[in-house]
Amino acid sequence: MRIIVCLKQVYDLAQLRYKSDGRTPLLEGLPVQLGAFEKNALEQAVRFKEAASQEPASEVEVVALSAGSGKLQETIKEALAMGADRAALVVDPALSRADAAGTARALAAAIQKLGGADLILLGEGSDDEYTGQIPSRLAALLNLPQITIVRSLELVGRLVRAARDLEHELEIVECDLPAVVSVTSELNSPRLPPLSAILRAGRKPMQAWSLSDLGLSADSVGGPAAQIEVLSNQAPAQARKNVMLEGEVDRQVEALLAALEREGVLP
Amino acid sequence: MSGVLVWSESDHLAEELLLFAGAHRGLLGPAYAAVFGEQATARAEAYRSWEAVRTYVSEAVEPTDEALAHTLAGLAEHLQVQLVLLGATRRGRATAPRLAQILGAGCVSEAVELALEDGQLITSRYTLGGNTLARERILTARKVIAAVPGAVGAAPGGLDPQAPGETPGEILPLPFEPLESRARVVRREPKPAADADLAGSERLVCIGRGLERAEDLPLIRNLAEALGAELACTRPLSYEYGWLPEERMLGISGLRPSPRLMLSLGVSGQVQHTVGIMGSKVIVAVNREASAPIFRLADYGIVGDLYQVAPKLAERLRQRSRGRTSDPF
Repeated sequence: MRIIVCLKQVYDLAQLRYKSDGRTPLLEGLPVQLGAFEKNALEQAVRFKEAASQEPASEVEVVALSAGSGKLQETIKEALAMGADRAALVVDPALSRADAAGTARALAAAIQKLGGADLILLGEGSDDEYTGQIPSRLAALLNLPQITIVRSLELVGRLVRAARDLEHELEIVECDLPAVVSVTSELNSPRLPPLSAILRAGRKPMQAWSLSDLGLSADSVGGPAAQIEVLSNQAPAQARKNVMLEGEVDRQVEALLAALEREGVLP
Repeated sequence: MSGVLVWSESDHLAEELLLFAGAHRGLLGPAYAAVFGEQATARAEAYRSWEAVRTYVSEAVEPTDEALAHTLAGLAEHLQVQLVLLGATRRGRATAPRLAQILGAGCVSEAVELALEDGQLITSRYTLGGNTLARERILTARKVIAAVPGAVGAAPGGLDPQAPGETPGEILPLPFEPLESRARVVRREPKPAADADLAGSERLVCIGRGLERAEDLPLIRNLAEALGAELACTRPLSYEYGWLPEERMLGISGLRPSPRLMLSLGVSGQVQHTVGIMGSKVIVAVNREASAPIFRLADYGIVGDLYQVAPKLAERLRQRSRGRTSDPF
């Protein structure tokens, strides 16, 4: 069985800074890392692999797939250290200008190039963009069934059974493989790979394609293919007051009480 | 291509979206609706007065993303609408991109604002982990938008459903057989009813990993009580440690309430959490680390130890309320 986990390289938003207007985010030079939701998806794939290795005549291959630009080769090593068998990358400058539809097209082409998968796992959204569109668009492109917003997942032979975390209920959904499944952060706690695994990660196979290797033109994925125009992207205008209350605890608490009284938010 | 097709599993949200579409019918064209699932025909009755000229009903559509997307795509093609508006419940958010992909449409799957400006549909959604609001325009001729409750604002001018000259809409069966879904819903498990109404609370005290032990929770409860606030928490405290039930968890996978006051204690401000507190009117953050990202989102910040600040604040709040209720004589 082959499981492909789609992973995204995201900005480390804990380090996000703004221009002097205080509203325009400064993304240039912001460090990148493996997305958090995707680690939940990968953790699940590796657990399936480990469970399969206990049984005779069943084997699971976990492929970490990512499409992006920049330092992707470096970032994906964490996925290999966590237990993916190999990595497949689509690296192309055009991907930095791709929207959800363009990125999904690149991922779908890469999955086809890999010969398909029994199970395709993704995070339900990315830490930075959070369009939440890739799993559903990918499933449509590959004409596969999808189960989204999954917080627990099991494989029973060729059947996947999942609990979808909806607002007021868990919805238990089943379908036969192959399928696309998107997961929430409640699914599991991703492992921290030991040093030995990190050292081994660099020796695992990694292949990288450009868009043209996948038979896609840059214009069909990036810029001109964009379906969305971003008019502006700034911190909301009603920016927070960001008043820091200084002094000893007693003074801080008095200042806070006075401020909350002024705001009219006390009972 | 003209007209709007509206669907939400929440009738209330469908009503909001239909009234928006109806108020802009000059620009958007006629409004149509779809109602699926249990009691679809009975529920559709109300849609007739919500500006839907036609409401299509089916009780046979499996509520999976795939079946919903294909059915709505079929209706969008049948009606030749230019816009499909969905309610951004979790199911709606997951269905919208698949529908968009089938229709070759651009999609915004969680619009927190939706408005017509100079004849153009403009959406806003949170991005960069809730730090920024992206104003976007969909460039494709056909558009799919999933909007959260309140995204379209109040219906302009207060629509009169019984306006003279208007006839209530028709109810029709789905004009084709719904797609057989490859995924099947086999069971539903209701979540335990919340023991508190966080969504309706005016004040929330939210505790994060700065709390060192479950045994210290009374300290926070005491403050919440003095403040007349409900207790909320970040994900680790409920999901990982089990100190508080998940119905009290704020963030991407939890609640996103809009209290007047959010008092955040020992919360670092991870992206997945802050999305859940953005709707608060006033945010106060207490954290030992001056560099904690939460301070960027706070109106008032205290760099300090919650173990010192919480009891002190609770004590002063109780003094204040005693002072107000005590007899001046």
